[in-house]
Order: sequence, then structure tokens, then C-alpha cells
Amino acid sequence: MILRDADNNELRGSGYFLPKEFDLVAAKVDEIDKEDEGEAKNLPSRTQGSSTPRDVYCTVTLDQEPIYKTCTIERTLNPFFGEEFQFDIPRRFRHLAVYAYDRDRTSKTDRVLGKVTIQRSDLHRISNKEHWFPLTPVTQDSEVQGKIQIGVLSTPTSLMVNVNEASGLTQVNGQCDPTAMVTVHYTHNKSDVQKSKVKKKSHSPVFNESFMFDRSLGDPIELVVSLHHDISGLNVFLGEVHIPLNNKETSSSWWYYLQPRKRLTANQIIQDLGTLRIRIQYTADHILQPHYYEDLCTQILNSPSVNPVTSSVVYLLGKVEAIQPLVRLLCFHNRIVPMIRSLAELEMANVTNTNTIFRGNSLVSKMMDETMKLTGLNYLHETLRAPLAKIFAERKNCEIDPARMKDKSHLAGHRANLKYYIDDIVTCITGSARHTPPVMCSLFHELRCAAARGFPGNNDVQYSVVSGFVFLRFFAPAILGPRLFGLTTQQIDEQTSRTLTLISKAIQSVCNVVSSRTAPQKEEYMHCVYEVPHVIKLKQFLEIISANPHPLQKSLDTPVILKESIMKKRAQESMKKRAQGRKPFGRRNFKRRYFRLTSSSLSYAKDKSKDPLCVIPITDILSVQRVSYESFYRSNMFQVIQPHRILYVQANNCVEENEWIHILTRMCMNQVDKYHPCAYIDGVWLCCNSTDKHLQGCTQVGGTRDDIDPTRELARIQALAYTYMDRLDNVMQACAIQLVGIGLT
Amino acid sequence: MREYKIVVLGSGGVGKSALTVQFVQGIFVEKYDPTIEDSYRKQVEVDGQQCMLEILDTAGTEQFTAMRDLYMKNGQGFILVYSITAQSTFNDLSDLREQILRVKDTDDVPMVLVGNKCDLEEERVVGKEQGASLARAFACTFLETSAKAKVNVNDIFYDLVRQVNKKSPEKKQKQKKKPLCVLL
Repeated sequence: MILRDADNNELRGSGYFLPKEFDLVAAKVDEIDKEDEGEAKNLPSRTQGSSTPRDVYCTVTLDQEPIYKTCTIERTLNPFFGEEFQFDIPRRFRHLAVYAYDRDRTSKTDRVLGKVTIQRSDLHRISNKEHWFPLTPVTQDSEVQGKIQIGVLSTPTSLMVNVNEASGLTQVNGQCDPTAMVTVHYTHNKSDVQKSKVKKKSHSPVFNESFMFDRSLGDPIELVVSLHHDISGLNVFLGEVHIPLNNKETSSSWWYYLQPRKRLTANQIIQDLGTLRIRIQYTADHILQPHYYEDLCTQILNSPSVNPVTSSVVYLLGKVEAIQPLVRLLCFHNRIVPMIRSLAELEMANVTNTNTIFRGNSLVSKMMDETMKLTGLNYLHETLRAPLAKIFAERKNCEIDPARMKDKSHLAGHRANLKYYIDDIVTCITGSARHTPPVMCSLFHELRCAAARGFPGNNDVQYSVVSGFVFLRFFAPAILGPRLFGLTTQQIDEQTSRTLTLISKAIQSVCNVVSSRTAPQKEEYMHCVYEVPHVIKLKQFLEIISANPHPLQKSLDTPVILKESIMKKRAQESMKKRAQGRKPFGRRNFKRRYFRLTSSSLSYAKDKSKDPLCVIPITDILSVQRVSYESFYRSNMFQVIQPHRILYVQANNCVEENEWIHILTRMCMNQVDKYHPCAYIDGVWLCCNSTDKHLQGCTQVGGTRDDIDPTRELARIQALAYTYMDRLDNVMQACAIQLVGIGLT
Repeated sequence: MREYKIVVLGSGGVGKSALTVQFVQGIFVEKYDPTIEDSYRKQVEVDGQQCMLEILDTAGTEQFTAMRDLYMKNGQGFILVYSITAQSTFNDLSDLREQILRVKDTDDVPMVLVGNKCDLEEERVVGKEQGASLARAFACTFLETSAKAKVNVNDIFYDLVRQVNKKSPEKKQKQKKKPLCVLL
């Protein structure tokens, strides 16, 4: 009922779309498949032997802007990546692409093997399904982005072409000095070419130039406008548009998407460059004004107290894959704990064998998993970062399976290595109890209590329900695949990967002993790593994190790292030393720095291992805002406004910029009303032309976005319910039949 | 000796490890300890041929799905296990099979569908006919097993070996080195 209402609202309210639209892409780059010899032979500039393996990596790009890079898979023609990226798209885009590169170890210039381009309009169609995509060739002429506005005015004697402006052009090595070439093709193979002025340093140039073409040469058939980056005699193609001229009298100005060069693609030999298996999940949220969702929201938030819980809205929506937005919404309104308690009790009531409780993929297990990811990621990082870093750095061999070893004499040494790592991780995990997020602790407490109530004679279940989540679904997968949890970005070699598998197995087997009190029985070679002290420690850990009130829980006394990355910062100018950081001519220079945001401060250093050069306490960050491109002729810039100065930072891409602004804004709570969207350059604020350096800002700060936007989550829930309406109908029919049945008896 | 890479897949708690350990070690593991990733080797004789089976027992927990792709890429034959006492474990298998076919990029992958825990007849919720019809849709072998009562356990592995043999017969076997001279 409620859902239908919401639908009607949507239909009626289609004119009330807020200018709010988010795109979310979870791209999973999996595998390039290149069939050995035959294929490599066809590659155009390959000069060595035909079946030479390559070192391959991929990048995920929005238009031409690289967002993520996979790790490099060495010496193979069938690389397997198995990586997942998820990000909010902060801007409009035309296509999402995945480029495959062959890394060149000697010359350091990586060769592009090909790309897969998916138009934005096609993303919906292929979303959520895995496909094999053929790689297409990448050349200078194919790498086109942006659009151009052109108007054509036709008179009996002449043709006037207005080239107004272009936007979002490709940048060549961070530069773009575009010029437009206007060609008119006449009948009898005649043509006339005119060129515009060069617009320096602008990827969105305003030309506002008119070109007159005489009709005396013949009847004009086609107009071609192409853009070029012109620098010191080097002419780089930026895209073109073909406009047929079928004697239209006049046409007003239109925007045209720039296209790849036509004549080359026409006679391109179709090559087999291999294929790429990709799974993309793409959601565009169209969000109505919040009051349209009020009903739905109330029903969701009331769900924990609905009896029986199977008739609650959350239970129903669990059938339409809306788990993620539901969890986010319930967390936002602090209703997640009673909701999961209610659902867990239902699930326990239907259990016949206590051994399989929460082992399958049920609504509770999915919701718990989402909640732990949402609330516990920083905690996970803090706990596992140090021991994993040690494993990556030391790379000690830990193989203890005799069947996988060539020389069995190393067995004792390997066993010692493994025990040493296990000990380290167990210590880190058990020592982290005081930092376990309160929401997770409350959930573990509820699960444990529910188990105690449901199975009074069975103490072991109380441990297995907690360890089934905090270990089996949280720590163990993170240790096994640290890249998937953002615990590292580096490539993990085979041996280290095996070490991680062994540690993950060992920790899980210790947990198994905690909850079943008998020694492990499965693989024989693993029996030796199990130690009684670990069992005792982990048992205590499970007790502490599921106790209420948490005996060790404290407010965070040590700062937690929230975000880090390497970005460029503008050389800081202090109040007196104006000359510092200034090149002899032109703009101030930018330096690469390692930035780290913790729960108490933002700092940067020359690199990760060095001491910070500057530490800005969170309380000193008044606001964080974007900086316009014109200030430094650099994109993805943002400013950190402090009481006495402004720090200008350039992020590596638009997604990263968005994430940094987002998290910093959340931390600083915006303490100013106004800011300058441009920088103070050469004695003037470029935005308001004021010369007073200490002048208050000229532009009102916009509204801040919280980490969770409840309206957006509601919109997603509603959209999912709409998509899977047939499933909900089935449930309703089933319920109706049951009701009739009960009525008859 | 030819090696066979076999991967056991299915939801949590259906008895993947119990089947594997029963086959490899001949014991029934009564405990339901979650598996992360276990591997076993066992030499068997199938149709007069000596075979080395490399069996990978996988995690049924959803959080480890990211690893599945790699198992699927490396595996030659797959055992898809559900429990006849839990409908959801049966429903999960279609997605799993689809994923295997996509990773392998072919429709013909050696596979066996297994309904485990057939000793728990009184708790049965998935009918034998349901399993058989899913197997027809998958175009694969179907067996109901019990790791506890040792029903059909060896058969699933033997059947898979035969399927792998049928799909890719070993070529090198025929061109075995001939002895250059025979000393009597």
C-alpha cells in the first residue's frame, strides 16, 4: 500500500525533480582474456616474439579522467584482477571506460593495449551483469571528450558559421590551448577551411567567432568543425563534429558532442585485441522532495516494533535487494539495533540445528554485514593496518602444507614464521576491544542475548553467533583479501597471498575451537598452529565486545586515520615570505605531498614515512570548498580555510576531490558563512576583484552533505521496490492465500 | 598421472567440508566449523586410470565471494552442493552456476549437482524431483548424498572425473614414449 502511494507520488511529482542526481558505480574489473599467440601477433607495434607475456594493468576512467588503477599482473596474457571499485560520480560524464595497459619496465612509458568504452546511456542496460567486452584500439584520434556549441546562419549568398564555445576538452599533459578549424565541403569535391584564434590554457574555451563562407564555390554539403591543441608546431586532434548542410535557412546554436576522427575509423582494420570481463553496477538516483517519502520512512522506522516482524516493511523490502540503503537509513536514525534484534529472534525461532545458525545468507546476515562495513571500516583499518604492513614488508615464507613444498626441511622455520604472524594478529585484534564501534558491540550483545534466550542449555551458541560475524564475516575476509577492504593498495604477490590465507584459516580455526571446544579435525597440517592461549584470548575478546555495558569502551583517545592519499599542494606562503613558492614567472608551484586526515587533525608530509611538515588541528579548519579552475588553471582543486591562511590542494581526480571535500566538511562542520571560490593571485581575488587580501569571502557557502543522506537512501529503496514489484506482489498473493486458508479453518 | 582440479561450492552449512573430508579421509566431521579455504589431494583409480584429485573446499560465507572467481578460473570440475533441509541453499545455486559459465566463457563445464544430508529425511524441504529438474536445466549429473551415512560420496567425485575426461581427453597418453631398445 505504502509503496503504491509512493509510486503515485512519483508519477504526479515528476515535475518536482530536485536538481539532485547521483550516480553510483561499482565497477568490478575482473579479467582480460587474451588468447595466446594468434592474438598477440595481430598487435600493431609489437616487435618481439609473438607469445611474449606482458605485465598488464587496467585503469577505470570517467571520460578521460583516470579514477582507479588496478595492480599490475606480471608475465601473462590472461591476467586476472578480481578488483572492485565503488564510487560516487560527482559530475556529468559521457562514458565510463576501462583502459588496459602493458607496463614497460625499461622505458617507463606504458603502452595502451586497448579500451572498453561504455556510454552513460548504456550503463543502465548492462548494469549488474557480467559481460565479456572486446577491447577497442586507442589512438590519439579516438580519445575525444567534451562538446562544442555551433550556430549556422544560411543566406542565399553566403553561409555564416558561429563557433561560440566548447567545454570539457581533452587535456594533453595537463594543458589545452585549443583552436577551431572550420571546414565547409561543397559539391564537386571543393572545400574551404578557416581557422579560429588559439585560446590559451582553457579546456572550456569561449571563441565567439564567426566565419563567412561564400556560396560561389558551390552548394555547401557538409560543415566540419574540428578542434586542435596547438602548441609549438605540434598539432593534437581534440575532436570534431560533422554537420550536414541540407540548405536549411537558419538554425540557432546547438551543443554538439565532439566525436572521434571519422576518416581514420572508417578504414581501420578490425583487430582482435582481446576481451575484458567487467561487471558494472550503476545506479542513478532521482530524488524527490523529502515529504514524498515520509510514509515510507515512517513504516521503515516502525518496523522493529511490528509484530510479527515478517509483516514489517523492512522484512518485505529485504526481498528486493534493498539491504544497503535500508541499513544506511536505519543507522542514520539509530534504529538498526532493534531491527536486527527483531529479525534475529525470528531467525533463531526457525532454527532446527544450532550448528547452522546464521551460516547461510539470510536477511540478518546481510544486514549485519552491511552494518559492520558501514560503522566498522575505520576500526578494521586501525586494527589490521600495522600487522598487515609488517607481513607485506617482511614477506616471510609461511607455507606449512608439505604437499606444496619442494624442500620439506624448511617446515619448522615456516611454521615459526606463521605462528609469529598469527600471534601478532591475535594480539592486535584482542587488544582492539576498546575501540570496537559501539553499534557493533550493541549488535553483538543483542545476538548473544537472543542466543541465550533461544537455546538456554547451549553456551557455545552464544560464542558462535558473535564470532560468526566479527571473525567469519569481518576480520577473516579482510585478512584474506585486504585490497577489497582498502587495507592496502599495493599488489600482493602469490607467496604473501598464501601467507594471508593461512593466517585467516588459522584465526578462524581458533574461533571454531572457542565455540565448539574440540580440536580442529580437517586439514592435518593446520593442526600444529592452534594454540590454547589464543583460544582463551579470543574467547575473552568475544565476551568483552558482546558485553553490555562494554567494560572497556571509552571515547576515542587515540586519533583514528580517516583518509590518506598523495595529492599536490600549493607551496604555502606565509604572511611575510611572499616570495616563497613563486616561480620566476607565472603561477606558484605545486608539490606532491602525502596527506593524512585523522579524527583530530589534517597533516601532510613529504611522504608516508616522514614526519609531517604541517599539522592542522580539526578545530582550525573553518571550511572546505572547491576552487575554480581559473585560479591556477588546474582542475580538482579544493581549499582548506583556516583562521589565518588557506591551504590549496589539488586532488588526483574528481572522485577523490569529492571524497576529500565530503569527509573534511563533515569533520569541520563549516564555521564560516562566506568564502572566495577563486584564489588571491597577484594582489587580487579573482572571484570578486577585491584587492584586500583579508577581506571576508564573497560567496555564500552551500549546504553541507551528511555522510548518509536519508532522502537519497529512501529514493533508492523506493526505486528498488518499484523495480521488483512482481516479487512483492507474489508475497502479497501468498499472504492472501494464507489468510483465506486460516479463515476457512 | 593426470591431475584433476575440483572445486566444491555452495552456501554455508550445507556440508561441503563433510563431503570432502568423508571422501578424502573416510571420516565424518560432525562439527560445523566454517571453512575459509581448504585443499586436499587424493589419488584414486577411475575406470582403470590412476588420477590425482586436487580438491578445493571453499567458504560458503557470502563475504568470500570475491575469491570465488579465482577458484572458478583455476578449477576444471565443480561440485555444487545444497542441503535438502534448507530451501535457500538450493536457490543460491543458479547464480553460482551462471558465474561459473561466465568465468569459463562456455556452456560446457564439468559439474555435479549434489543434494546433501539425505539421511535427514524427516527434515527434508527440497524434494528429490526439484533437484533432478534443476540438474536437467543445468544439463549436469544429480545425486543426493549423505556425508554422515556415506551415501553416494565417492560417486560424485568419480562422476566428475569421468566428465572431465570426456570433455578433454588426455592426448599425451597415446604418444607415450616407446622404449628404444629392449634388453632381455
